[in-house]
Amino acid sequence: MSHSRPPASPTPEQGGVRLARSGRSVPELEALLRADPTLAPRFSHWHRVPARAERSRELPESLDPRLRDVLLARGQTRLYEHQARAIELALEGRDVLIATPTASGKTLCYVAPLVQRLLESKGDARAIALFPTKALSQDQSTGLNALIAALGQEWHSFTYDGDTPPSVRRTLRDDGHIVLTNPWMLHAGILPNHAKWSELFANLRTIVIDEVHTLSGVFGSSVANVLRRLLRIAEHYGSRPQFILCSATLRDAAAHAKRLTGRDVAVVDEDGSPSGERIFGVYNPPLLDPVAGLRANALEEARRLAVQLCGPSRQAIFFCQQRTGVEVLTRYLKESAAEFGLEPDEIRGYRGGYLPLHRREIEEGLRKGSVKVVVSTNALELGIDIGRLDVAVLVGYPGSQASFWQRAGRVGRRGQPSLTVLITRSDPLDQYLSSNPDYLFSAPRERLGLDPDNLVILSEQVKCAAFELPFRDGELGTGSFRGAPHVPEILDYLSAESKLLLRRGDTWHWMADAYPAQDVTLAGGGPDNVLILDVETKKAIGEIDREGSLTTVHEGAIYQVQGETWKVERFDYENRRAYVRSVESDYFTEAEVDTTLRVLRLEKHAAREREAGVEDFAIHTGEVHVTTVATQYKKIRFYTRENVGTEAIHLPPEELDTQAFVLTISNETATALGLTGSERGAAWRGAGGLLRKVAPLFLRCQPQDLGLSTEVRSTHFLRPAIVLYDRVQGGVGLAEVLFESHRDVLNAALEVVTRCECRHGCPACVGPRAECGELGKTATRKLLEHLVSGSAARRVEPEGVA
Amino acid sequence: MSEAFGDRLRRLRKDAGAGVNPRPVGGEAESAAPTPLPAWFRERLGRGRDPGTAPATAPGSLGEPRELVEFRGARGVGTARVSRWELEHSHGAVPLASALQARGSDLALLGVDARLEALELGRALFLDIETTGLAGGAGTKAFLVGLGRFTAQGFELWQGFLRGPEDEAALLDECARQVGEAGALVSFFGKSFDRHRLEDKMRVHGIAAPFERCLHLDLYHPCRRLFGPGLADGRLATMEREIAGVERTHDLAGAFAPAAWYDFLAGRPHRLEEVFAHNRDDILSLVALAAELARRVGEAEREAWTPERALTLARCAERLRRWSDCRDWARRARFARPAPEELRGALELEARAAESLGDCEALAEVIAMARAAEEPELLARLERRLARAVRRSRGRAEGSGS
Ligand SMILES: [Zn+2]
Repeated sequence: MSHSRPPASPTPEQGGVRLARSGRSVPELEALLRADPTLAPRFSHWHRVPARAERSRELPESLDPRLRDVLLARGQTRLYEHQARAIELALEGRDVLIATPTASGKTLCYVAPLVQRLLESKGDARAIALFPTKALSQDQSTGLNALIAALGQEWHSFTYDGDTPPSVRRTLRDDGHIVLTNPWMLHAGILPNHAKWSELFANLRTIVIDEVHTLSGVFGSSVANVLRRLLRIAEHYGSRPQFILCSATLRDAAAHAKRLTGRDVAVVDEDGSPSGERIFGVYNPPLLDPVAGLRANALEEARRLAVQLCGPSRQAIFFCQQRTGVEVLTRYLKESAAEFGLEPDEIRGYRGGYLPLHRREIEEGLRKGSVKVVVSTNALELGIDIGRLDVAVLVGYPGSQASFWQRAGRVGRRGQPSLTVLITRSDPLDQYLSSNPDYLFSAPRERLGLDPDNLVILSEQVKCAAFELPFRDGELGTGSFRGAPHVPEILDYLSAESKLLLRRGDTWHWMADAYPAQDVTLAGGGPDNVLILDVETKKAIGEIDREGSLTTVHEGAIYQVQGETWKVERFDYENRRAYVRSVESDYFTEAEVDTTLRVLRLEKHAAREREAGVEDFAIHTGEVHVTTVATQYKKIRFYTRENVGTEAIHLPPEELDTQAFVLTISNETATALGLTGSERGAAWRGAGGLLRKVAPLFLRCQPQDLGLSTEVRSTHFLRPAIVLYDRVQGGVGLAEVLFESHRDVLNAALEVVTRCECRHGCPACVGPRAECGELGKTATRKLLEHLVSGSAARRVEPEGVA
Repeated sequence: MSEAFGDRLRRLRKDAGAGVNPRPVGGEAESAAPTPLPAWFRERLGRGRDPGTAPATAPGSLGEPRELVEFRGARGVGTARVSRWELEHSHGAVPLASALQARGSDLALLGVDARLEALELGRALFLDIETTGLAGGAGTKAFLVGLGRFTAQGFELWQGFLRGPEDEAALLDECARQVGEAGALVSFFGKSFDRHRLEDKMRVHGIAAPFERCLHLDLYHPCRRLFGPGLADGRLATMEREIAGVERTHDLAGAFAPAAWYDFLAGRPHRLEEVFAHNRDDILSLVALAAELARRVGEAEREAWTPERALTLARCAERLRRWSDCRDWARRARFARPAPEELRGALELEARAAESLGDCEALAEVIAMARAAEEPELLARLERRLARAVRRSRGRAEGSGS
């Protein structure tokens, strides 16, 4: 609950390097980098955020005197403006979302109201707090119990997760005032067994959800439904809890919170915590091969920068995108420890796979200042308390603005300047940011895709809800599922077709010997994922989604993990298992798929005309049916890329019903732009691929969440079409967001091709020439330029839909 | 967004040739409406569907189970079947009436629970339920609750039955009333299963659960302790055969019970009659098992005891700190030709009991046995015990003398 910690006490100096490097301030570091003849030109951008004064005020009047005394005794005489506001709103009974950066003291915003409810009710009130990771909930539990102890109360807060022993669960259910858990446990453990938690539900006053910005896509949409179930059960036991949500800074925060909770939520998003000056540098590694567009390896560059940035008198954090990156960079840095004036032990790796005790020790070391350098995955992105550090290096853009700021939020001690360096990679997204750094520093631009009413997710969750309590006709208009369309139809379906429910009078009753939450995952596709098993050790070495399995684990495929090669011996398609054996393969495999996309129905439509009555281009949202068949695979030698054989793949087709964003241009426009023949196909593929890659700038997703189909002559539209579809069965709203933001996406794509220094296309823009052809880059550019110049497409009201 | 979904579902339904948003009139599960949703969607929705809900393959009866009578309580109307037996009736080899002879102290020893000394089988309820699944969770229902009891005339079985899920509150409320009034239960594995299923559902319906303040003898544990070693499994069917000589001929496997109830609700031919019979036999077996176990313990001297079982009971007595029983059972083990290992255990227990009783003579006898059995380590331990006991009894004698 503390806002910041004093700077680490200097450790005894150990020799020359250490001495020489100590005492270099952050502004001095910046000056050093700017003066370095090699490094300076690679910084494409410097950005300064001036120091911000603290905005704070006295503790709110409405705070219980007992709680006030404890806070005062801790030296907390004032609160940041946003803390005070959030606490006041919560105490008024409002549902609140606090959307401020990491380490701005959000914890107190929910802890204070929650504890005050306990005080007011003389210990009867109960609360549930949801955290996205176990480590976070354990962290919070310790803090809460300390506060409760300071109040001299006998209340208990517990973490309830997969590690909680059965013997403790019992006590927890009966005596736990505050249950700290995660969405998965709530979904599969607590809600289906609500009778055992009836004390909790009958007195539930507060639901806290931390890191709300992580709740998007399938996961977020599922969690929104888990919350509907939670509220439904609370209502059954006679309680109406209030929500207190915490998140990183969000675009459309109120709308997101409403979709998530179904309630109008008051948003507090003006950060009142003080901050020293913040210096940002965007570092673009040097171009090694301008023709291929290849840039120097980002990890190597991180090491190069570390020589300047790491030292005994400050703490630095490096964020890598992958676990292997963490391992590699940690090793690099430890080897160079002496160069930094550090001991190898002062440099540590940190990631999810480490044992909890090990992680606790590193966190402690960071807080105390004994760990000088930490290399982490996103594991340290969320709110685990490690204090504030001095320098952050992001090896690659983390894929979203929220993540970028969460990571950058790890640095900046009270009143002291901090430095954040983003190393951009050879990737359209990173390269876009390198040339458009303003994107990073402007207000959040991404929208979160969240669709609690996705037919698949909703119906699965309705199934779980019906198991928990019978559904009554009456509640469909008033209960927590009231906002969801088609619940009656789903219930009818579950009774008439699936025979899981029985309708008697005005009520649907659960009617099967099953425990549905077991089969319903929150992340989507879970049970459909294919497990990759080593035939020798019988251990799983990986997992892959259903669609991806067609091309990566078909029989005969070479499956690659971290440079090792495995041959797929058998693919048990029915049971979702692929059996692999470790081999020394001198070739890899590349599968070819045939994707057919059928437009089922179009919804939104916007278009622009070339001249009266002649269409220029058009965009749509709609429903599509995608059939993917893997046809054959090629064996290709490493390095030489020589094709050493082709074999057939025998697998059933994958079917997907989902929502899509469609972009078409008229044949007239194609001709006018000179996009004919092979050029047209190249432009189309290049543009499609690029849109998919830059889309995450404006909607929260990964490029692989979007499927792509480009056709030079679409059978539906009879003209060129690019279709980007949501790869989740039923869709979770990505198509909708693409439709709204299409101009931004097109502009960003154009920016990338225009700025890219390659000659004929490269991985950082439209893809290598081998894929997009000789003219791919110029044709793509021509097309994008045309699309974004001139007026925007105008909405076309539906008349006769297809 | 929501508009799009409305259109979508309608389209999906039209595709399959069904009308627009048909709403069913009743809960008729056999409706043969054309499939209104696409295949991937049906497959997902149907996941976790119970194979038992398919039409029963064996011939069954149609309609409500016979001889149901209505009862009325605070939470509505429910139904039950009541069956009666003369006291002379035997289940397996055991006359039901013999349960009335069971002594509380023997039941307490069997259940290793001192509170059970107050248990009278003549006033207890014998409980067994049939549920819609073993997985637990809020969606699992107890659709048949059997409660057996002795009356002035004989033995009476009340089988509360759910004609439909809407009767659940009425049934649970009536169970809570009966259990609360009796204040004593006998079950098989009921402390782990039946009780919790009922208690959970009572909480959901806001009915005060009576189990916390109820005496409860769960026969599973004594059966398992005494007869488990050497038996294939710990199921009731195995125990009743071994202990009470019960042979069931046409028993419906418990796993079919949910399907029978679902068939009934769906209006299909069902096998509920067999479920009622199964539940009835379970309850009668509870009576027979309780009676037989208590009789054997009560008539210990006339029974042939294996050293293993006698030793088990000695340990039960030890946990209850019933030292003279502990000494007697250890002695029985000693006289039952124990293996060397068992003999050591028996002598140790007997010595422990004798020491606690301050019975130096008995201790001396145990020491003589240990010496004869050539158990030097044991002997040394026992001699220390004896020395302690002698000191303590001297202390007591002096204390009382002064
Ligand atoms: Zn390029």
